[in-house]
Amino acid sequence: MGIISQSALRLCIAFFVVIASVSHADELPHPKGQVVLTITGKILNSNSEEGVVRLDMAMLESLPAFTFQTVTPWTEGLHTYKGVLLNELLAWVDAEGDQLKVTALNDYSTLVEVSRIKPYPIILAYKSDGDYMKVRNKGPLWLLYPLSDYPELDTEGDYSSMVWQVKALVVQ
Amino acid sequence: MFLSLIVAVFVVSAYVTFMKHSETLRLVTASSKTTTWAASELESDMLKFLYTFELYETGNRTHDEVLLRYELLWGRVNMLKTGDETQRFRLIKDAETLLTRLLTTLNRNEQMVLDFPSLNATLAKKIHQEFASLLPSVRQANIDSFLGPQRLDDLLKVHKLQKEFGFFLIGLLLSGLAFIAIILIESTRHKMQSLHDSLTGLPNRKYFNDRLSLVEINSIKKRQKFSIHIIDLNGFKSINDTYGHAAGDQLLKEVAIRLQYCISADDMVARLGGDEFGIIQEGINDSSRAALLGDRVCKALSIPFCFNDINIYPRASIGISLYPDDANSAIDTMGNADMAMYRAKSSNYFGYNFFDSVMYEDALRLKILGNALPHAIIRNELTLYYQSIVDIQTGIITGVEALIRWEHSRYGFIAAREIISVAEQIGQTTHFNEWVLKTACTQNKQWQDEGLPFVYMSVNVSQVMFIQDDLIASVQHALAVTGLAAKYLTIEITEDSIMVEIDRAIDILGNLKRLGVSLALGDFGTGYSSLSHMKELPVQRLKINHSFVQDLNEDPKDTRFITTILQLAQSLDLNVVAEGVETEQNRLDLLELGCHFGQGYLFAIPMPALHMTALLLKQKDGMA
Repeated sequence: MGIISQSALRLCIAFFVVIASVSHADELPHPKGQVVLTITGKILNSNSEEGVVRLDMAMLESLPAFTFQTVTPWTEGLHTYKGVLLNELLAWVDAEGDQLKVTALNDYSTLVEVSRIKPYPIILAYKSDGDYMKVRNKGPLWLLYPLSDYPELDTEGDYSSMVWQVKALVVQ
Repeated sequence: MFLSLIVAVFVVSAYVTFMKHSETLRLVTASSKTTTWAASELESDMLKFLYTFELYETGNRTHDEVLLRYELLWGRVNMLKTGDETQRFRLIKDAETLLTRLLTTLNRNEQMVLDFPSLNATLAKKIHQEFASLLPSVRQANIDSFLGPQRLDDLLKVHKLQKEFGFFLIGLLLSGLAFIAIILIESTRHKMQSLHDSLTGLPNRKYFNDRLSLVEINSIKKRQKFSIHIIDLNGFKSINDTYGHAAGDQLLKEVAIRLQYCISADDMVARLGGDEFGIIQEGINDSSRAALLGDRVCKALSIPFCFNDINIYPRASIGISLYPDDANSAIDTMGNADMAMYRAKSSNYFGYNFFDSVMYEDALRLKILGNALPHAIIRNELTLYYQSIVDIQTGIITGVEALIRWEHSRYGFIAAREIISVAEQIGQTTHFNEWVLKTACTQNKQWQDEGLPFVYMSVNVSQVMFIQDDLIASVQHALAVTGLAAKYLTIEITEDSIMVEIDRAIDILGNLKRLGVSLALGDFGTGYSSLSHMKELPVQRLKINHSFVQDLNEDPKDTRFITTILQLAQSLDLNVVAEGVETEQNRLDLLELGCHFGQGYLFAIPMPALHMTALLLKQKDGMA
């Protein structure tokens, strides 16, 4: 009786562990086109066995988007930017961390406090004035703050967080 | 002017300091960080591209990786060409040219890099060489961004700005200090102003009172005395009215100066208000030094003041009181000095007057009686006594004079003259007068109703009541209320009250006569009646002052005045009543001289209504 019940229990535990891990991994849609962004770290949802989220442009565009106009220290004049809301993206992958490590194509990276960006409609912009952005024009993705709408974000500290040519996010 | 200069320095310094500081910050942060960073990133992107390119040729990198490096280099160039942040990089010598050349090169070779896998080796080498040839310029820009003239210039600017910053900071500090100084000076001045009189520059009443409290404490500690002198100019209002307010102000200033010369260093003189000055004389042992000061003040003020060739002779009344001789507190001492001053003023003599306890008693008595009189009227505590006026020959009572009596609980019997004076001081004359008139009329009407002999009731009216109050209305009211016929009422006024305002007096008397009331002129012969006015006065009776009747008691008899008055009365067709008839001899003499009526102790003393009733009853019975 003891042996049977023990092995049954083990089986049960094993089953639940599998269920638990499966329930969070690889349930998001899979990219069909070229991957433009990977998200790793403390996230509960992913679209791969190793718990990484890979997104192509179509997937990014299917997520809740936001458009705003702003000036930046790196551009001339006012431009309209459209992109996925970072808060929505993080919710989509069920991110649980306090910090976000943002890495660019040239491997420049910076740490952004989630608490700092949470109250604002900050986007990973993929369109500038209606056009997709090439790498030479800070594309394909640019972490953009609505500086013109929220002057309190217009600081040196926030400038360094506005990474262009973004390729990866790590939730820490 | 000075203040606006300080404000200007402050504002400019604050503004410039802020601007210099911002500029310094901008130069220190923006130039060093972004420019150097951007320049080195450009070199790095350039090298990475060339490196990837080379590795690709040996098959160690993919075409996509070359394209990415190409794009990244392009992105760097674009970033350096636009935006505020990299503006300072573009200021580096030849930087603009370099960026343009890079952009041209990137544009020209874009298609070929895209077509890379199908390119021949020579063309690939040419592309590599073209980018590699730009490398030294990129390197130089990188060095210049760190150490170049632009950078050095910035550092020099920062240094210079710091100097200026310090300079303006000193301006800020100095103007700040000046502000503090101004505030301190202003507050001192304000304090000074609040304690001094602006016209004379003397301490004001507040300062005087403050000092008085200190002096009081000091004198208790040192067991010394101090004196307070109150100096009030006489007739200052008329000086103002006659010579103008400018002269009045000049006079006050001059008085202030003279008073300051009179006092010694420890004393204080203040302007207490209007034309009143006060002196506190400290550290004295008895009244002699106070008297000396009083003398000095009198002398100083007795010298005429000369304004615009006009000599003004000021007169002042000075009251002096000593602490603790005259009072237990400084405030009471001040009140005493005030009282002494008023006493000096009323005695109408130019000099100082020491307080004495009689003054205090007088003032206290006035205060107590003044408080009591209105109640006494309401509660009928005042009574009228009556003295008969008789026909000298027959002894028949023809009239009765009403005399006021007040038995006060503390002071006992109060004389008529004092009651009237109290009533005048507390402004109760109308009320008082109406009470007397009504009571007297009521009494006479009652005698008439009781069938007693008809007599006239003589009621005295004081000067104030006669001139200021509406006597006509009061008389009319009294007659209406009591129902007494007007002819049985006589209003008795003194010669003096009439002469104050003779025209008005004639008016009022005329109106009274029209009411049917008879009029008597009292105290005749003691005042200054003008004979020409006598005939205009509508009076029916003269009352000879008792002092003239006294002349009859002299040895030898002096009948000159009485004879003259009687002759005058006869020629004006007036009745004459002699007051103060005390002896039978007086009566016989008066009879002989032709005086028909008399009043005095020989006939009857003033008595209560009840006794007078009995007297009248006796007369009635006698007649019957």
